[in-house]
Amino acid sequence: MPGPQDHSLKSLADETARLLSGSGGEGAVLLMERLGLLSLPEKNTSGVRPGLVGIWEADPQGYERSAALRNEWPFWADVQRIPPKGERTRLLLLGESVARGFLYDPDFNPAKALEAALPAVLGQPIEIVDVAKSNLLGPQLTGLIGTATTALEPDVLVVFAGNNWLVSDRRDRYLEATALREGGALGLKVWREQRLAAFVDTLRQQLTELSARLPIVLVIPEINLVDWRLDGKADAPWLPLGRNRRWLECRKAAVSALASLRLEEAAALAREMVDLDDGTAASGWTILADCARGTGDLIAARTYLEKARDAHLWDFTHQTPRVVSVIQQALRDCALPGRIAVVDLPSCFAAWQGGELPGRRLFLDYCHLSSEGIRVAMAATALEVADLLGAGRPLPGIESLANDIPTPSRYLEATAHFVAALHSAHGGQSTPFVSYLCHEAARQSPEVAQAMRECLEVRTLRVPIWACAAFERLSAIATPLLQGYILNSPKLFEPVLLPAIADALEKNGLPSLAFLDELRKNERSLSDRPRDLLDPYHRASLEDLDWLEWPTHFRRAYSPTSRYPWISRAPGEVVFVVNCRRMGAADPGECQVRINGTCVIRLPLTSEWSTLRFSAPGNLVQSGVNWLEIDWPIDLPGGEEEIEYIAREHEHGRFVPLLPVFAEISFLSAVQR
Amino acid sequence: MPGQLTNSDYADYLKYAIITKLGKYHMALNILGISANYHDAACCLLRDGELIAAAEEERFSRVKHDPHLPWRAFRFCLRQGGITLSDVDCVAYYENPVKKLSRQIWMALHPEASDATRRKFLTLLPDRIDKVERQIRRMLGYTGRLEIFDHHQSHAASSFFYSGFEEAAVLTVDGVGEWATTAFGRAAGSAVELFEEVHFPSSLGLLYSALTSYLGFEVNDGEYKVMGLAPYGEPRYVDQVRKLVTRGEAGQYGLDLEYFDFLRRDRMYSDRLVELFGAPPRPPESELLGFHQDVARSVQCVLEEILLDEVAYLHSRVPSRNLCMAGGVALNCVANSRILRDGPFAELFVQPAASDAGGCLGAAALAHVRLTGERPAQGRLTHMYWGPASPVDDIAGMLAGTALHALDYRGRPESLLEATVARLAAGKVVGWFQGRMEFGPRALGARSILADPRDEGMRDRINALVKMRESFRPFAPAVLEHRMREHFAIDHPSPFMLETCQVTSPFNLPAITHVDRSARLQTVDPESSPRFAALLARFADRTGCPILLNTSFNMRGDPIVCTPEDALRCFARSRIDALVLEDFIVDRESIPAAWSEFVPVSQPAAPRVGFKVYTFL
Repeated sequence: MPGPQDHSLKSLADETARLLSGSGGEGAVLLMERLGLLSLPEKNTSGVRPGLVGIWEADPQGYERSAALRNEWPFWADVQRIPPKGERTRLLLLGESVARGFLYDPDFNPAKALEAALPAVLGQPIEIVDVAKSNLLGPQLTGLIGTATTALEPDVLVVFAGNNWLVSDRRDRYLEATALREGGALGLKVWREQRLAAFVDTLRQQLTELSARLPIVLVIPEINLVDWRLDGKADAPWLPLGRNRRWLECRKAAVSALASLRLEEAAALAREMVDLDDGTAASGWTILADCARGTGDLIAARTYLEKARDAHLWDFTHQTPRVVSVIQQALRDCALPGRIAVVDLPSCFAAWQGGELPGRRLFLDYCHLSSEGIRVAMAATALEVADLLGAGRPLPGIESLANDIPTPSRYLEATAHFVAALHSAHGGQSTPFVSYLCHEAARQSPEVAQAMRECLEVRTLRVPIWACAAFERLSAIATPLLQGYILNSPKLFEPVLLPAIADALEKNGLPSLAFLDELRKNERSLSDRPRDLLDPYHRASLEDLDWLEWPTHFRRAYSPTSRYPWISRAPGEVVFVVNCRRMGAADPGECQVRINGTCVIRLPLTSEWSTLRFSAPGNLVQSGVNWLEIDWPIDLPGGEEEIEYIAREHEHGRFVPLLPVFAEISFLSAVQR
Repeated sequence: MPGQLTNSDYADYLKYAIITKLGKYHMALNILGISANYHDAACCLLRDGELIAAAEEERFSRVKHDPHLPWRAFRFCLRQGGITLSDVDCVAYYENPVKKLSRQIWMALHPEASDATRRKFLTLLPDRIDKVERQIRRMLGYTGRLEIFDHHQSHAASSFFYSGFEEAAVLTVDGVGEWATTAFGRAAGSAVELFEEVHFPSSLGLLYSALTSYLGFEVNDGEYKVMGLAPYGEPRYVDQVRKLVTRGEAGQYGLDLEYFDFLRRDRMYSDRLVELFGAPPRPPESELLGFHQDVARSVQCVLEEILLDEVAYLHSRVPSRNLCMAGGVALNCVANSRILRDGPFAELFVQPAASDAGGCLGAAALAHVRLTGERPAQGRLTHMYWGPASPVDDIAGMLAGTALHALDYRGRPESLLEATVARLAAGKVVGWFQGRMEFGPRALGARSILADPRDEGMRDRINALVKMRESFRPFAPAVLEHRMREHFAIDHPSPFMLETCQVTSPFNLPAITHVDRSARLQTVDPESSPRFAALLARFADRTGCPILLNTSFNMRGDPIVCTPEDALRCFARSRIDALVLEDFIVDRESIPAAWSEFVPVSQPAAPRVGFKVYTFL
């Protein structure tokens, strides 16, 4: 390194720093980056590692699970060694968590179901090599297809994937920002659909080439259209021309009409919502689907539910994995007679259920299959495998084939349902579905029911989960999956889950409602010490919109109503202090504060942070769970400036949710004397 | 009372703060100081010129040396101060991002910059532009007045305005911030003026860090290990170390850059330096040889020589009795003692959080001066308990949910002390969690591991049980202030472990005595730390020895514990014998076996700031 300092270089550096830090600096750097003058790290998105197939490392005896990759083991099949190719026909299974059999794996999964079904159609046992991986992304799938089919020498390949392809690539952000600027949320949605179609086209080319030497079965995923409600994240994005206000008014009226079974009125309002949001919000479609189901029109209902599922492709924030129409259709187009067979699960499931929409019978959550769903899907897959391999014998019907696949034990079934209940509650699902899952769990296994009882304590007590005595008891009776899920989930108020557990236990002979009530009061009651209601514990779920940008110092209200649950030991006045602001509105207006549904005060808002105090009268506060709800004004600005701002931030790699912000809260505490 | 808050105090305090004072403090001048985006992000609250709260972000995020915008510490400061964002008059940032960017551009454009350095810079550049203001506005939601000060100005102010001196000379020395690496100044009243700077790449901090790396320790974290290793060696390589530094006029010095390579991403020294010492770099975790000890001793000697020259120059320009120091190099307590002993200044104040974390204190104080024209009211720091406390009732609730058999001493403080002393006297290692957490790198009796310093095997035992650190380093002693002279060659209080002195105690104190019979002393004053002082007094009553071994309450690679949950986790993961959580004692025997399976490891020890090279970019 030379010296002394190069003063001319220093002067240049000073000047450059000054200019870059000036008003045009950010734009200049962005342009430099777009022009390729700033290098971006090239990430290996395929996940391909030389000498490895997934976590299995080549050695003279085949492939051995790599100890160095122990942290990744839970995502893959629990198999220590993949032997060299032998005499038996070898089937290679690739896919994501659905193919992994998440919630049942490793005791029951698609590979085991397939292994059980295939002898009946092929007349001989077959070797299944299970290389499905939870959380496998699209580029990783194509990488794995390349390495695994070469290294493991399969005779037939089954690919069961398509739920994890909705990922944003940092390198696309300029194009995405342009699409957003030009077409708003719809523009971005269309752009992403095209991107997904292009990815599947790449996959199709890879599979077509591969199918010249290897028969392939593609299993097209389906999702739980009926029971997995998207309402929790179904608010409309920023809309141009100030349409958000009317959209919110329509939704409020439509929900009310639907609740009163005024289906035509609700459908008309929902259609107006869809017109206003260009089909980019699930709410309108979901209400239309509910109306259609109300009239028995299941075909229309399916169409609307699929549109609801597809609506939020513009969303920058995390979405639950799902297959969307553009993927399903593109996968169907991959079929190649005699070389690539397609198992179309949407059609298959519809046929299996006599036209019913896919719901809790076939799914445990949004995309993960129930044991019945796995058996049906793998029976259909086995038939296609047999067809491709030329079984040379009459094939059984799917019904008998699926029914002959062994079912999981009741303990395993109960565990899967309970973990699904936890997962669904944390995913923002409402009481009916979570309750169903809890009831199934408690009904099927006393051991799991006991674990659920311990879970009430684990989730409520303030002690860290790993140190909780109840968790020790739970761990003695729970599977590693359930232990791991509970251990690694942050503590939440759980307004849906805990009552659902207690109710399920109560109805299965284990009185728990009073126990939960007392537990919560002992541990979580308000007191004369202020309780921070902005603590992440008070999220309604992990999907709670108001915590979207967590962690930040303050919360943003992305919904017109912010909701905070709390516990009171007994009725009595509660004093609240809130520090909030409402930016961007010409007149910040006022918010309405409700305690357990009753308006107690209207408070003036300001565009700067201001501190407001109010109290809940003692007679409105009930013993047990209470709700503070703050309704923010819905007269939002036009939307164009906000979309432009969000597009600009997106270009810089700073992901701002494409959602209206109704207010911001930096402080919220409650005290009960 | 700064040291300990009883549960009732705490509840009353919060209640008072939130219900009564909330709004009251909007009349006060509330300034939040922030240091971030380098090492050790931190935040403090200065109200009407008095320090109310301060904490490092790492304590909350559990990421060692967490450099990110300290939003958790920011939130803590608001809460501790009983204020909201509406009540904040100013946010003060500790470093000038334009000057820093200039230095980073220089490094990336330098003809000898490695491709990796350039690539790293270019990759990070888009995020750098306007980062500080953007973060503060968007992440913290703060829209009010923002004041930005230079890095060394903040360091200087962080020392002078918290020293209690009316006037002083000021010396700041660190690795690098913007361009400056060393600054000389004078301070009086409300003014802190820096009149001379040494600029990057000349840097005493980087000299020390480069040799830290050469000796196989982690940069940004292992410098104090070199200091601890030095007494074992002889200064056989001082001539070689002197060759690395060229001396100039007016406090200036330079590094001979033939021996360094700050433009690489993988190491800080060149092949020439390896040739100079005639031995390859020591691989991390490998055996320490006499050569390594001698190099450590030599670099420490040369550092002290140069610092003595620097303070001599400073005194020639500012002939004050008082010297204030800050910057990471000011945490070298051996050098500090030498400066006080052999230098021209009669008084020395080192700001205890001397590294970047403490920059927030200086920025806040400078903002106070800018807003009011007056010096902050804050007098000399007498303690560093500026972090969060935990109410005893919360701890009781937490423990009740475990299968632990916790001994409850609520309302019986004397019994708690007796029970703790009984364990210490029996040779047990105790995790000690009391009151508000310390701000700064040293555990000073609020989040400490304590033990009997007379025990021959205690050093190895604590290393094996919890610290897992190099065996050559002794632990620090804490002594009752009024009895310090009976045991240590020191004539003034040393409340922050920022000086060393000779051990003169009639007791044999092997666990805290270094090979040269020095010790890095903390003197404990009952006013500042009543319960810790009382514990020392009870220990003295029982054993005659008013000294305890005091080391930070954390596992190797983890930040010091902050909350009772952190303490419980550290207790479970380590093999500490007993945990004292405010008014409760838990013994190791009561830990359920299942904990070994479920207790989570904290954030990975792999630092998010550089460990092979300094964090230049």
